[in-house]
Amino acid sequence: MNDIAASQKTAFYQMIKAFHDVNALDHIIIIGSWAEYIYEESNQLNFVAALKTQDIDILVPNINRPVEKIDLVQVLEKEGFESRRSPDGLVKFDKDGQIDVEFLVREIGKGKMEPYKVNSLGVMAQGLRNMEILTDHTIVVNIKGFNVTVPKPAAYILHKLVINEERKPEYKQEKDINAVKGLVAVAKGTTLKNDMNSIYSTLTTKQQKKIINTCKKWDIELNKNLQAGMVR
Amino acid sequence: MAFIYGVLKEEYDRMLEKKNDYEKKLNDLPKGALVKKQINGRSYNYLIFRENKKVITKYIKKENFDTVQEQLERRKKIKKSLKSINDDLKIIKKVVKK
Repeated sequence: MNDIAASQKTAFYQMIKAFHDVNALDHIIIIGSWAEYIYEESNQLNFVAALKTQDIDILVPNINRPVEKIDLVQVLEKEGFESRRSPDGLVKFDKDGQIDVEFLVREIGKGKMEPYKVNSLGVMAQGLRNMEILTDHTIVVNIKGFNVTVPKPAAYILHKLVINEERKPEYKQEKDINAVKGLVAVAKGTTLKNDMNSIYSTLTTKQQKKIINTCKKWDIELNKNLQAGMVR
Repeated sequence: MAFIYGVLKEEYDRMLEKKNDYEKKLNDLPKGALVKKQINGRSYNYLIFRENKKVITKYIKKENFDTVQEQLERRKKIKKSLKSINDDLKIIKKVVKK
């Protein structure tokens, strides 16, 4: 399985370099299990990412940026990525059967079933709720010479706790909690807990309640003040 | 750690989806190799491929040469990806089909 992991990483960096070359890296955020890999790789935390799946989730924080359009489909195809349309209308990009790149955006308002067209980057994206937790709290880290934007680890944790109850299929709830526990375990001596307090205070009451409920359900001790509902 | 099974099942389904997509794409792409033949001092391009144990030589117009060459390269790349997917499927199948 090590060979698979190595070729996945190669494909990942090919994608990152291709995005860097067309100045697209400033307009995307890497989320999902590959964000955990970036935390590990950039020494953000003394952390070993538990699990990387094939899908690389790319969040587009603002569908109107960049103003000067970039055709990411062309960029990826030039790099040897093969596009495929899934039954739900989303277009994913595979590289050598090793990774699957998928774009996401913030779902706002009523939301819609069909994917969103991101004209600024020429891609179709899936809309998901609560993504502002990730887009509003990001860090730029340097990995292998590239500046890559990821959510702050604290935002990543809190987002996972907010969405946990709605995660389907259900095994994803446990998978996310496993990742959260791994990140929380390395929080000692870092700014993670302080970051968590300040981000938590920006969340809606509904989101805060969801965090508290998820922590109770899965026996996670984030921060005593936070869990007592004292951080507002 | 019961979620591991779910993760593997999802990866398995994803790979199957990719496999089906690639197999469809392969059907639409030409197979074989491009060769040049000299006839009466002139150079002509042909696509040689095997179909039902028969070797077929198909003339390729000059203006279509680049497209066919690109399609053959794409076919080669897709076959490589398909091999990688099939190898991974074999490994994951052992777990998810238990």
